[in-house]
Amino acid sequence: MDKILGNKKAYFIFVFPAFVVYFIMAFIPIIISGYYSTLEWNGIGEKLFVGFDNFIALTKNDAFMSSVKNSLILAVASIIGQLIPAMFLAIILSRNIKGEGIYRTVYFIPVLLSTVVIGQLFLKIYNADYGALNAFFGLFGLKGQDWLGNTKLVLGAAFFPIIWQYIGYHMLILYTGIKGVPAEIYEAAQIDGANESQMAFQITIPLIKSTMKVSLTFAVIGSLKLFDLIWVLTKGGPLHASEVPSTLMYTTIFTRMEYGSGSAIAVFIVAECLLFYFLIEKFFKVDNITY
Amino acid sequence: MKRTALKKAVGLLVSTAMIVSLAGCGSKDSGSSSADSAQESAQAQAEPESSAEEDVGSQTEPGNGEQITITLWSQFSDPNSTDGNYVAFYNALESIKTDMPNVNVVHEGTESESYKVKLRTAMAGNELPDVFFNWGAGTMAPYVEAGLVLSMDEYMTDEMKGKILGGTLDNFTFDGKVYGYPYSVAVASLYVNTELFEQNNVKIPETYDEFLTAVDAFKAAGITPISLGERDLWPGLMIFGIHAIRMAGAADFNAALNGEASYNTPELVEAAKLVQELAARGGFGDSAMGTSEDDAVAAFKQGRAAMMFMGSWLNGDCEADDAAVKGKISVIKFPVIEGGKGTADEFHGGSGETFLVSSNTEHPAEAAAVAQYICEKMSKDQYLAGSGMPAWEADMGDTSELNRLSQEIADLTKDATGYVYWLDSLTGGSAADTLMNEIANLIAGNETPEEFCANLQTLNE
Repeated sequence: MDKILGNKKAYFIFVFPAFVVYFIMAFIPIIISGYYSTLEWNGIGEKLFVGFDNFIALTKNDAFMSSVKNSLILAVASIIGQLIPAMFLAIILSRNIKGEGIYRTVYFIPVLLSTVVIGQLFLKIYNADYGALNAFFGLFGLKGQDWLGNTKLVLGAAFFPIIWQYIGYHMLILYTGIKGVPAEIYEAAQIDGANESQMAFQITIPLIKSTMKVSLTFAVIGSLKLFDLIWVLTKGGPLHASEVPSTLMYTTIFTRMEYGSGSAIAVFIVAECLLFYFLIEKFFKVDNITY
Repeated sequence: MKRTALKKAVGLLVSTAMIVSLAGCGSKDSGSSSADSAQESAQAQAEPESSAEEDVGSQTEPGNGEQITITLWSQFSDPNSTDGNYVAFYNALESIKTDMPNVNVVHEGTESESYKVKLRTAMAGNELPDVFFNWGAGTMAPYVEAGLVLSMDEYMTDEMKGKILGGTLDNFTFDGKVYGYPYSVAVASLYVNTELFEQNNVKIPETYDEFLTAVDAFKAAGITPISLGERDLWPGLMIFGIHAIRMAGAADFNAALNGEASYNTPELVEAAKLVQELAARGGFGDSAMGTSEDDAVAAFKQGRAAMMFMGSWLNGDCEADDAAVKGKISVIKFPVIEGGKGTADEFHGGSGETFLVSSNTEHPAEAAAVAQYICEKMSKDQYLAGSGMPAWEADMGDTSELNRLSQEIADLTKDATGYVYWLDSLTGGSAADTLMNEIANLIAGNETPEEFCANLQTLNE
């Protein structure tokens, strides 16, 4: 084993195929997008080089600015709305409670469903005429709302299923992390008279920081590049009220036929995700814990 | 025992990846076990987006000359659809086998929204099929400018010119050259649910004042006055379109849309004002902004809305067997607005869908013939199926089975003096997107009619 790991040639042979696929499928498109973002181009006609004009125009584009704001709101909402409940569930589930496997599966089901299925489900729930939510309000004599048509409500209504869907995902990541903490530590704590919440805050959370960082990274990056559920639910509307950068990128390229401007949004999304990744790496320092 | 929590998470990911890759191997193995299924999967991989593909070519008959294959793309993805255009298209696809035996037409249908994206991608990659469905005017202009489509002038005989109805080529003509044949004239009119009008003692409107009275009466009775699916944005264009036609007249409004005149006219400001007031008094119900076009049509079909201003493709839905309103719908001209320049005989709509021939095709003459054949055949069949008005002169035969609403629309439009085509297709690309968003803003009350017209005018500057 040590012989293989010490062999640089073996490393190369194993990594090279994956690297080639990754380079062609991920890296080259990003570079090409970078090139497109400097053009004024409708996709089929002449390409006109405009330098950074597309990026400058974006800063003056109200729809783009509000889409960035929305995605940052979603990132914060995801951290609060996903990671805290996920941590809570993970800690409880990992304490060898009855029916651990069943609960774990139940909470994970939304992650397994296609986002389009969830989107269609919530479209029906939110429908102003026959939706379940308005019917529920009707029971108490309250007036229903046009959840996805009202610019003040749409953001909350669209973000709810997005956040709800991935609670189970983060729960599973954190649960795996907690299961990696040796049982002896908890036994020792119990002998010393620690209660459950003391064990959670003094032992579990400090010991799974590296797993929490993984979760945090996924939650933030996932929010910044979100596309599918917003597209199914609102297409960014009404009046750009639920727009996120990736939906705006799609309509800019395929409805407005502005390939340059759309590519500029794509480049922005890549840069924004990288920035947040490095910020998390920098400010969420984790010591490598070994048991 | 030495391990980190992260290692375990990585282990989980790696094992998932292994399971996925194993599953991948499994399907490949079963595929190669039979030659047929392997071929099928290869085809499926090559054309993942095709939702309906069929090979409609006739078998080679000896002595019939050389077989030519023509590839054809369309947005008619569902062979079983009851939409009049779909029925007509698949009829044409079937009859071309016998009428043009030396041509083997391979059709690939893709649902409308994905179709647009697919076409753009094919154009960028220079992989256009020989013949493809497309919209006219502003949507088509960039393709013509880029030299991607073939002019039909060379192939259009005097006989064909004689049969094509006047004005139907306008949206396919650029710099005096015709690039596509028409196949339908779609017209928007006001669909009214006569049963709801009678039940609520409301007069079917003949003037704009009566129209507003009807709106208020239905609003008071708790019925959506006008069904509007503004979530999809384009339905709002039609509402503004008809108001602008009534206020400014078709000629002036067309001039503004073509950039030859200003949007900043008192008539268009007034049209915008009327649309905004209509929305503010609850003309579109409480939830138009969040309603999709499908839901809006469903509400009208189920008799939950009194009126709908929509294109003639709605005929089939209104007369469908599952429609609660079957037999209770009538179509009327949108009322004239007092003080406006437009008359009741100016309409929203026109001829704007066609089949284009790629300039890269290997068989230009045959491809042009296929495009012409399909358009002429569809013109008659889509009319008989109750979709739009025909664009080619033809002996219609027995029209007793014809959709009742289509006949009513044919009567309404027989003295038409002017048309304004759908605003989104007419302007195309970013201008269409700007129009749609501006009108949504107008309906939502986010900007004044003056601001609205000033914002539209930026498109012309």
